Amino acid sequence: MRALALLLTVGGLPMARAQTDVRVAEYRIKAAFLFKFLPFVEWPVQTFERTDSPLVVGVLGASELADELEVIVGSRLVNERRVQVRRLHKGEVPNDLHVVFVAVSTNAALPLLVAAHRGRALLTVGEADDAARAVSAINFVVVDDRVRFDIALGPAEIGQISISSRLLALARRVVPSNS
Amino acid sequence: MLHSLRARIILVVLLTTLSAVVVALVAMVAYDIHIWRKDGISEIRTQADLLGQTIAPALSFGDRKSAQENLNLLRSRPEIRAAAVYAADGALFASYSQAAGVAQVPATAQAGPEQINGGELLVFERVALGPETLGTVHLRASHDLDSRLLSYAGISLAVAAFSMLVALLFSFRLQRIVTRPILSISRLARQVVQQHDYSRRAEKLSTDEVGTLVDSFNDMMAEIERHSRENSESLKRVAHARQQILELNEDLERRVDERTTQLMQSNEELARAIETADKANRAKSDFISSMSHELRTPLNAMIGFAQLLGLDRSPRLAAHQDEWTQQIQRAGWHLLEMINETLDLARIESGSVQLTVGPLALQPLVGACCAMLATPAAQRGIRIEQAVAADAGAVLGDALRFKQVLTNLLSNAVKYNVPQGHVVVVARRLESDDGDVIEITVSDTGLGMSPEQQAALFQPYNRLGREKTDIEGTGIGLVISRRLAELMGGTLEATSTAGKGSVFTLRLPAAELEQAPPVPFTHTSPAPYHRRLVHYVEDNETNVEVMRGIFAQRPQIRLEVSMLGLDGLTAIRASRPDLVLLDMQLPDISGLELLRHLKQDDSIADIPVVVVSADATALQTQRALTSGALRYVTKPVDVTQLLQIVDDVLEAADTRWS
Repeated sequence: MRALALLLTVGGLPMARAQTDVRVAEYRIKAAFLFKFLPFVEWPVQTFERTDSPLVVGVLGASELADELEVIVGSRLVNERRVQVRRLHKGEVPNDLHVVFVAVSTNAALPLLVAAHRGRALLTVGEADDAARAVSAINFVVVDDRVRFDIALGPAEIGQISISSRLLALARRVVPSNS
Repeated sequence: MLHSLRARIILVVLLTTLSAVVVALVAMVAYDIHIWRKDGISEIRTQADLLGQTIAPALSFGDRKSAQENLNLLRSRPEIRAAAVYAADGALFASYSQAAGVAQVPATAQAGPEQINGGELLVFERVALGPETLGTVHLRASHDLDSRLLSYAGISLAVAAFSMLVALLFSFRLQRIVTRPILSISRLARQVVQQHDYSRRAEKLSTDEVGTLVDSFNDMMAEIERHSRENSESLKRVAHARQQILELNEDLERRVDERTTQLMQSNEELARAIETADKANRAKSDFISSMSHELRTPLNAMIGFAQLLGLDRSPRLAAHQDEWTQQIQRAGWHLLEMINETLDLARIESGSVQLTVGPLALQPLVGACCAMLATPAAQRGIRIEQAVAADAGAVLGDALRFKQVLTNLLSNAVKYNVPQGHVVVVARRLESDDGDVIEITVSDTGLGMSPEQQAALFQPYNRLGREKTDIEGTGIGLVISRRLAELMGGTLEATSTAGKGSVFTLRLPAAELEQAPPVPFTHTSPAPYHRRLVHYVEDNETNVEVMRGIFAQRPQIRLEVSMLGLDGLTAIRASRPDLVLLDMQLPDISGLELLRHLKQDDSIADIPVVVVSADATALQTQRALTSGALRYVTKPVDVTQLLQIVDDVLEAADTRWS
């Protein structure tokens, strides 16, 4: 919580620093957001092999985010499960993830990952500018120097997860499902 | 009473309802307040929890705007006055207020249980996501107990008022159900008391206790009716009986009046009859008295002069002439006897005989009567014997009349006896329940009587055929004797055997000997005397002539005569005679009146008076003797007897004067 407050405070600062600093600060906020999303998302029970199986979060193309996320997760439990952060290399397509973050730069890998997890619940988080065409359920956006997020229900359905309405209330936009 | 009963029932129902309503309301309000408070707290907590849940992501992502929006949703909840969200470090994250400046929220988060303060409920609720505490939600809701109590009071009042109204309606119906039969009984009872109509009955409307009351009341009414009926019947009977008594009384009074009237009438008739009878009696007595006097006067002359002829010595009558005068005298005396007896019987039959009944010593009377008949008995050689028992000392009767009866019986016994016969007089006492009786029997040894003769014995003027004999008789002596015996309370009966003699039985009530008055002493011994003056008051010249002839036998006596009573009185006062001879019937005043004048004059009252009267009635005799006469001599005068009396009186006078 202290970290969040710090991030928020940092996030609230004007982006007058260097681009790197900006990028680091943004990913730190997004890492905190990503962790905070977890309690509001539900996976089907069969997604986990055991009741104490860890929640695996894969991060592709944003090491800063992964670093920060590992710090945040620490030994904290989400839904009474440990959170495991896995750094994905370029071209790596695992099929046992529960959450995957794909940075803008590696956006193209997302459909592969989704396809790899077909038949298995997966929360996809991206940084797509255009949420309407995005394939990730949650997309971070920066509005007025502040990190916000949109939620697209179509990809969420594809990912076979349900997102709490309380989280939906915080989203900048919620894109309804086409179906 | 009527109002009271109804009012009480209504009051009871209302009070019961009120208390029930009050208790129920109080309990309900208390419970409701408790629940309200609990629910209020719970609700606010829930609200806070929900708010926390809702606002958790905003807190989590530090989205103040979202948090504010969430808080602003509370506008739909007017009871939430204010709300606030605090971050995990306690700093105010977002706040909401119903109206600007209405309520302030604390600057920092607080912990602890809910607070109630000034009509507001303050709640702080931790906001957690999983194990993490995200912050605190604070809600400040209105929790105005006073206004709630006020509204409760309003509701309670309304409920109570409605309940009371309903209860009032119910109680009206209820009291009607309960009181109507009772009031009907009450009304009926009052009417019964006022109208005394005990035949009325209360209508039974139910089978409950009131029904039982109605039954009991009706039973009671039946009982009262029965009693009333019996009472009125007995009263009717009493009234009827009283009516009957009144009618009987009236009838009785009427009859008494009738009887009284009848009695008065009969009394008047009786008085008239008595008066008539008295008149008749007086007339009869007067007639008898007059007859007695009128018959005796000529007889007095006949017998007197015959006696004077016999006494005349110068010249003495021839022997056969003397015998003739004797015959005249006997016939005269017999005629006198017949007249006396006839008049006596007439007096007895008319009831004008007066008796002086008293105790009479028997022995001297029987002796005197026997002595009177001694001479005629001796002439025929008949012996008279007498036996008076010791216990037959006295009888109750009139001395004169007893003598008359006994003399008559003895006279008959001598008269109808045979020569040398016997006459026995026996007196004895018979004891009887009605009082002792003295029985006196006179037995003779005479001719006796046949049964036919006995049957006619006591009939007047029936001489039983003996008128053909030479024995003199009137045929009425026994009739008079029997009547006299009956008048004295006794009887006279006869038994007889023809040829052997007769027994006459006289029965009279016994008396005690001690009460008998002494028999008056009579002196008969004459003595020589000289020069006496006798005054004779007599209007009849024949009688005067007879008297002068008699006194010719006593030459020493000078006889003065007055023809009128008042002349006699004057003469007697003037000459003071030694003896007065007084006739009863005088032209001017009666002999009795003159006698009283003589005895009332002190100067001459001591002169002896001998009445010589043709009135032989006992009443006249009695009057004369009680008025002061010394003796009463009846006409025709027995010369010998008169001279004897005169001698007695004058001899005594001589002695007195000497």
